[in-house]
Amino acid sequence: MVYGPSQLIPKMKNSKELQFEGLYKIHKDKIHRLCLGFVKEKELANDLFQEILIKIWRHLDSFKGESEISTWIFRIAYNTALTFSDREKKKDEKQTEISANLDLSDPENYSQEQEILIQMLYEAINELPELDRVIATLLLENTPYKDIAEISGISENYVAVKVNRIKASLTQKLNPQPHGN
Amino acid sequence: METNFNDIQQLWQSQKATSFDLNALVEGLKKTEKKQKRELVGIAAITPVTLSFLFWAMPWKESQAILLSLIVIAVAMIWVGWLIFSSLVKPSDNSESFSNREYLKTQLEKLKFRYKIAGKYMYFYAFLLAAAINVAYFVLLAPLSDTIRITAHVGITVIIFVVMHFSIKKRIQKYDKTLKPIMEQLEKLLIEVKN
Repeated sequence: MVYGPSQLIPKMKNSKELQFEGLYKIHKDKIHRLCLGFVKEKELANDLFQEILIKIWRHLDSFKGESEISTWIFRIAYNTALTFSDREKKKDEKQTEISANLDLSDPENYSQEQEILIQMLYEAINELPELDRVIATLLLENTPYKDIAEISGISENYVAVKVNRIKASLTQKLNPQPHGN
Repeated sequence: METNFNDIQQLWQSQKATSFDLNALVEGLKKTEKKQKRELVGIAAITPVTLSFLFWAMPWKESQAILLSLIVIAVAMIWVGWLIFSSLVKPSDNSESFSNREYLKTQLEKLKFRYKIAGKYMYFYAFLLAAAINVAYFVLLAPLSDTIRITAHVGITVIIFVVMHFSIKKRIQKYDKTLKPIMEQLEKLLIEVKN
């Protein structure tokens, strides 16, 4: 087999590719968790993940540094998640060239108890109204209230009110009271 | 043992996405970007190509009426093209610069505008097309008998309005199934954000 020069010399990456790779490595877990928090089905969560990555890639050149890059990424991720639906997914399937085999499933071995808790957590988040879901997932990532307010477009005070309700709701759902108590 | 919120946070953050071939991902993104650009260029080219063909095929230099009809068709096509373009909810639409509230507002306005285009403006577009074609027919069919001319005028007008009416109806039915649920969801979210 004869290799041509293009196969022997690795492709030089441009600055956008390098920047994207850096951002991807730092934020992929958070985006992945956000997707699973918004969409129950794994396949749909993968589609949402892809859509968010496409938008980050497409808008990377226009990032002006007016906010933290993580806030910027979250804003894209949440706005995408809020308007993401099955129908949107079907529409976008025709537009994407990314491998359909992209599997983001977690290879780590959780204990059975942890696995059950994770499923309960997803269910609890999924049951929240959309805006609360945004706040809940940001809260779970330890995002400051100021950033949550900036991303969601509500006041910091209202974030604080919502946070208390969300914390109580999630904690209650993950600690179901035994019957009879 | 009770799970407190810190435990929940730890549990949440313990989940990791599987690393996969980043080069393949970037290549995929670049391909997607190129494909979308090609599609946009294709859409943008339809109007000028159609108009160029009409100006090439029609004897507009010989008749001011035909020239007028072509100008009306051109204006109508450009107007509708602009309306459709400005109403498109692109997946990337400002999602990078808007807070949720602003983003939801613009998305909702654009979706409402799409309804308005289908329900109102497309009938006016049909009227403009019918008027322009009738003006052109008036000149082009002059050598034919009155019966044929009247039949052609009535026929083309009816065809334009019937085709447009049914395509608008179909479009609105499609919007009722696809856009309406999204609009309702966005409205609900906006109310929630405003509160």
